[in-house]
Amino acid sequence: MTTAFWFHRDHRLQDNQALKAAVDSAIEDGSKHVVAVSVIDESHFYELEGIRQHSLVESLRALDRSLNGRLNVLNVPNLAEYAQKLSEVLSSMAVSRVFATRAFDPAWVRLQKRVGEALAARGVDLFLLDSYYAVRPGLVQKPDGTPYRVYTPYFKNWLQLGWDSPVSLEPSAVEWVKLEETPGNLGLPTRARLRRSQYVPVKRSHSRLLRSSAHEPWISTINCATAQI
Amino acid sequence: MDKYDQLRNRADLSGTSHLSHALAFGEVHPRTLLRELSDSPAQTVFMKEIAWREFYADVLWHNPTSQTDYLEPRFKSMRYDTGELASARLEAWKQGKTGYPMVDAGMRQLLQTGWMHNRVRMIVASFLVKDLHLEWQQGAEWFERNLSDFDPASNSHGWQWTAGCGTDASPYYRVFNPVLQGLKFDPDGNYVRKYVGELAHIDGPAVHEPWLLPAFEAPDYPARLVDHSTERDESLARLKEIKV
Repeated sequence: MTTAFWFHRDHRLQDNQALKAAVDSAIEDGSKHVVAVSVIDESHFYELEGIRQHSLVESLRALDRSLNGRLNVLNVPNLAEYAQKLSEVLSSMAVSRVFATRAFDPAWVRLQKRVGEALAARGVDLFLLDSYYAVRPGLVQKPDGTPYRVYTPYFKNWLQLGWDSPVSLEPSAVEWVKLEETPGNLGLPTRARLRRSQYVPVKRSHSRLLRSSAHEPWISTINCATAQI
Repeated sequence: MDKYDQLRNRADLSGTSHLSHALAFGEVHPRTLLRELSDSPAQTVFMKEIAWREFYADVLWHNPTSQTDYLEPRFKSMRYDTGELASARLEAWKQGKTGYPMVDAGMRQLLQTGWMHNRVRMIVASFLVKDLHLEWQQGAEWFERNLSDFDPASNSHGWQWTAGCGTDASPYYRVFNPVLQGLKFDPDGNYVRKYVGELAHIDGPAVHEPWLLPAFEAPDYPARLVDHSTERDESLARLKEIKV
């Protein structure tokens, strides 16, 4: 019995309810084995601009470090093959249960449904828990059960519903399984494959350099590409 | 965070939380942040911004087609520009070469850093839809390719808010004036000078209206792509056509 956790837009170990459920399940069944996997859809990823590619890779790298290098990154050619490839790899690891945070945007709702079906065909269960939000979409409702279309009453009701306290995780309570047989589609994209920035800086005007007070105080904004390291 | 309510709209200061990337990748859950907040006015404003993110996720959940389509269907039938000139204008907007310094600074901040100040996102979005008469989806796609903090619900519904076709949106007739917005939210012009190199030698707020200076002051900076007040009238006329 092996449990897997499928990371997507929830790159963290703490206050991750779905991950906590995966770890608890691996402890309960006695195996204490968890496969942590994240998937890169290459057809989408290689269309992104360089900075965005780098920031995703750095976020996954940070997640991998927090798992002591035990994150498995699976590269799939496109969305159509995503579910098939992911379920193939996981069932080859004798995974019987997969956990993930439930998505609510239409593209990922469809994908999670397809992954659930592909896993079910191999006898593997997919459990979708929690959300990326304090109050999951669909919960805040008018008294008549319909959704709010105006923000302010939504906010008041959202605040009243409240949210769970953060859950904490002891990552060393389980063994994080690294897929050792590298089938060529595993691992983070190498830096050489990432796009270079499209931005061509414009030369600063000479008159700027001639001024005595060339330096002006500037409160720097955080460089997004490195902010999450 | 104690001045978040006062400084978050200033493009030239680092007054926003810079937590959007961490939220987009899920490196932090909003629960974890909410737990840390006090009920001070500044932190309440921040909490309301978190709730906007949740509101848009809720709206998208109930209206899945609004990811790429108009939530308010009558805006679909509005007259938008297409063809070669429209494509060229879209490209100038993407590259930060519209001739409007505040718009160009925002678009270049996006290209250089993968992030754009929230207030400036509204300014460039209003410009695309109401000055260039292009559809919001074209801008939203560019944001998706470039924004490191990209979030499907916040992106589509942030755009639809500005384009006037979203839920609880800014009314379409509210057209942002890129010069006045610049003077208000970048009062000394530091934000423009940081990102628009051709204007870096122009001191003070004059950088928001370089065309008022003698021509040689900014020879490398593009001329204005369109005239704001003309296009404002044009977009209001197009709005009338769909308001039966």
